[in-house]
Amino acid sequence: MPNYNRSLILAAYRAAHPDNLEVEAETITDFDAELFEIYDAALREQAAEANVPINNFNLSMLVFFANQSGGKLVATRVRHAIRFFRSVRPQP
Amino acid sequence: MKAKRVPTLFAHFFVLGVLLLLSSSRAECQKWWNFEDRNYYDPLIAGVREPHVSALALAWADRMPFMVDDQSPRQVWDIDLGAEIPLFGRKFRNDLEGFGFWIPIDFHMIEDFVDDSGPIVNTDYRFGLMAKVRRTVPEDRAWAVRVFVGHESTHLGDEFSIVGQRRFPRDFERINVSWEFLDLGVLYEWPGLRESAWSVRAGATMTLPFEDTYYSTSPGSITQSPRGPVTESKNWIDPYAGLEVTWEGLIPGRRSVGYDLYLSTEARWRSVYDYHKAQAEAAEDRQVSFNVILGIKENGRGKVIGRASPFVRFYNGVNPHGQFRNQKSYTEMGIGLRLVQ
Repeated sequence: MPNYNRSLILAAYRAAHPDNLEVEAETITDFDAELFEIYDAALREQAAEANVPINNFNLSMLVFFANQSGGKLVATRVRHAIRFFRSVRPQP
Repeated sequence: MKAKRVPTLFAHFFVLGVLLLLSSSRAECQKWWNFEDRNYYDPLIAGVREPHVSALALAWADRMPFMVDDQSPRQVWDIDLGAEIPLFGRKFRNDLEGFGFWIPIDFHMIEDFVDDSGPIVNTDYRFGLMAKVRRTVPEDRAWAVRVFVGHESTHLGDEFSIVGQRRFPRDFERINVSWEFLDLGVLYEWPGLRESAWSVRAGATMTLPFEDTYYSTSPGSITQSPRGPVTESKNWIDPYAGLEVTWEGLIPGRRSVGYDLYLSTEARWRSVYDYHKAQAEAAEDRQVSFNVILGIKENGRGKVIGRASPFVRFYNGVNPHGQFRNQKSYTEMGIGLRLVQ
């Protein structure tokens, strides 16, 4: 069962692994689970504090943004993601 | 001559890596990575002989033996140029953990600006093979282990040596500090208050083979001393510890990620080389040697060669430069620029 929007997970995978051109479905599922394990708890906590509605699209966008950040800490990457999210207000 | 074994070791690891990649299924293969860096065990910023790209450009250091002018402290600069070249590895549960192999290569040069011609005093070269393992634990924490087998070669500058031989014909010595080493380190990372990323590490650098000497002493070697016979070193393990903290985004940016402040420290229980011991079997003296670096950098990782970061540095302890490791209570300090990934 995927945790996030599949298209956004594909975009995140492509950004993180630009060298892989043919990818198994299992690899994408694993990547979705990896991002969930790394970011989900911090995303939900900081999104709630920032009054960002918690739904699948918003969480998926935030995971994508957080995984682009170069911060050392998960907390920093999530903070960057939420700040960018609030500045651009993406829509499904 | 023992350094010739190291390229053979590299060749074996290349072959092993290729075989592992070729023998894996596609899904399994995508858990393996090659030739792209992973931050499993970053070099300590204050690690005096870690691979960095750094120029301590405006610096002062104590006078070293065989410098002509007596001025001390004196203006120098201290340049580090190094990198860890990634070979291959495999991730565990996610991209933040796994194991892998690297080839670290680094050069460390110090130049004096007081004596005529501004001679390069010394350059240390290191290269080897490094294995790292990293395992994440909940709440953004991680453990890591590093094993580094390498060779270090140290070289006095040519202008420095020529002038030294002319000015100090009865004292000038050239000691061939050249040795193979095993460095074992363990690292723990954790998040602190105000988005601070902390890491502490401890390890030991030891000669290979164990109990070997740090420098050549045999009559056929290129060690030369008019002062008499050169005695072998007896210490063979130098323990060390490092503590590093980065306050992420401590200086906020109005529309950007802002700037980090970092503080990195190394304490190493260095041996003080003694080339002419009265008792050849006596162990060398030791001195705790500190290196402290404080700097700022833009948050995140540089896209190409890293981000330029201004820093200040203070070092006190055994002189870390090549054969001058027989000098205690040496101080070097200054400001510079470094590249930070």
